[in-house]
Amino acid sequence: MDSMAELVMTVLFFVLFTAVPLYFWYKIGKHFENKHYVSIKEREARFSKLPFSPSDTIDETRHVESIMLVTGQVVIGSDPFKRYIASLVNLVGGRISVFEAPLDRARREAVLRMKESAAKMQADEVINFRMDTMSVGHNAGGEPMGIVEVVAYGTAIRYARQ
Amino acid sequence: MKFVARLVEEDENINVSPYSTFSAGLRVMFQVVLLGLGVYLVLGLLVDFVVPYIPPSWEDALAAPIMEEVSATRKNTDNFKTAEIQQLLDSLADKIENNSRKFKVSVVVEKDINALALPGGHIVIYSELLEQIESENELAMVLAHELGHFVSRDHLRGLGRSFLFFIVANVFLGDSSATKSLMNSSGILQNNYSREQEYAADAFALHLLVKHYGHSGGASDFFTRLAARESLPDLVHYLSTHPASAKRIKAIEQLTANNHYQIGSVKPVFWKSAPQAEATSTSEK
Repeated sequence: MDSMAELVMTVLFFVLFTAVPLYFWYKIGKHFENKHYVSIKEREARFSKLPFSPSDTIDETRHVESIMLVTGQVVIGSDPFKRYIASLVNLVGGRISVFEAPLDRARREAVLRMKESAAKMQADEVINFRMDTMSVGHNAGGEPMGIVEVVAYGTAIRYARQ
Repeated sequence: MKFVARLVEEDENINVSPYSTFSAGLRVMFQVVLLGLGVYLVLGLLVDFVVPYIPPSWEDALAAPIMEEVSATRKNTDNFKTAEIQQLLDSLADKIENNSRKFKVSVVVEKDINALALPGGHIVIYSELLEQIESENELAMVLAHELGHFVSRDHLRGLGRSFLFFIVANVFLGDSSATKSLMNSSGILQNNYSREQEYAADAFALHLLVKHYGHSGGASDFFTRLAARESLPDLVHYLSTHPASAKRIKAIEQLTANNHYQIGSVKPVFWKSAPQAEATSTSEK
């Protein structure tokens, strides 16, 4: 009887102080994620006509008017829900699906920003496209903060107009 | 070569798992809880298995840092004539069969009603408990109860389990200062014995009391007084780790009847034989 009451208290404690806050953080994170995806899709449609490729070949038949290095970089943070679940998955192993969406958002956003700066110089295409990641989101000696950083860069080419 | 523009649709984004991360999170939490329970149970059984074979010298080595912690955070008091409590404890310990260990008692200033059996044969009594004691027999019962924990080595079992609790908490909460303070405040010093261990210690104490005084008078007096105050908030803490006093009284009375123990008259407690005025002035310090 007493141990039953203790079990109920433990479960209640867990729900109140762990599950409810986690759900709250999950909802907040989901809200910003959805908002970001709406913006990503809208801009991807807008810039879909601008070709970009990792190859270094250009259209030899046309005269190149100008070239420029274009970059896009983005840093996306995580929320306590993602960090908590990721740390738990890290105990038992398995895919950390909570960080898939932030990484996907960061990658697409970085490409979009690169394309945006290429569009500013009215480029016809981006060649030598590369992507990179770096670590700015680690405080010295502390816990990793679950921050996703992506840099996309390439050479924007503008051909001479006939 | 022609560039083909292609937009990623929601349902075909292979880089993001299609399921809800919240339900995936709940699933992994469940897995980790199961894992933690499994580890706790297995290691808990291991502790029970190993404890009887731990030599006293190891225990004394284990005791040193814990006793340091106790003396660093708590104040000793001599309001209750600790030397005479020690004498009583020694004569009780002499009556335990096959006992070669020496036990040491100390009294610390604490608002809780509690007594601790710590590694190395140290018994720590909280001053508030002694405030509630009315007769020497009651005190002997409390001391004998703690001796009972030593004899069945519950204090090491409790420590082993708190250590396990510490490891499991560490896994869940991380190696934070919160975990450490949890360990310091409740883990080590709050040996949470099971109800079975408490009843066994009560039974041991009753037999020892009868060996010492020749009768079992005063055995349940302390619990009767506690039972009368059980609605008071400062007892909540004590009751959370001990079986309800009423049940213990019943168990003690049952044992007394079964063994046909005599109930004789009790001796007054030694610090109360001093003049009342002096007693109140010293207890206010």
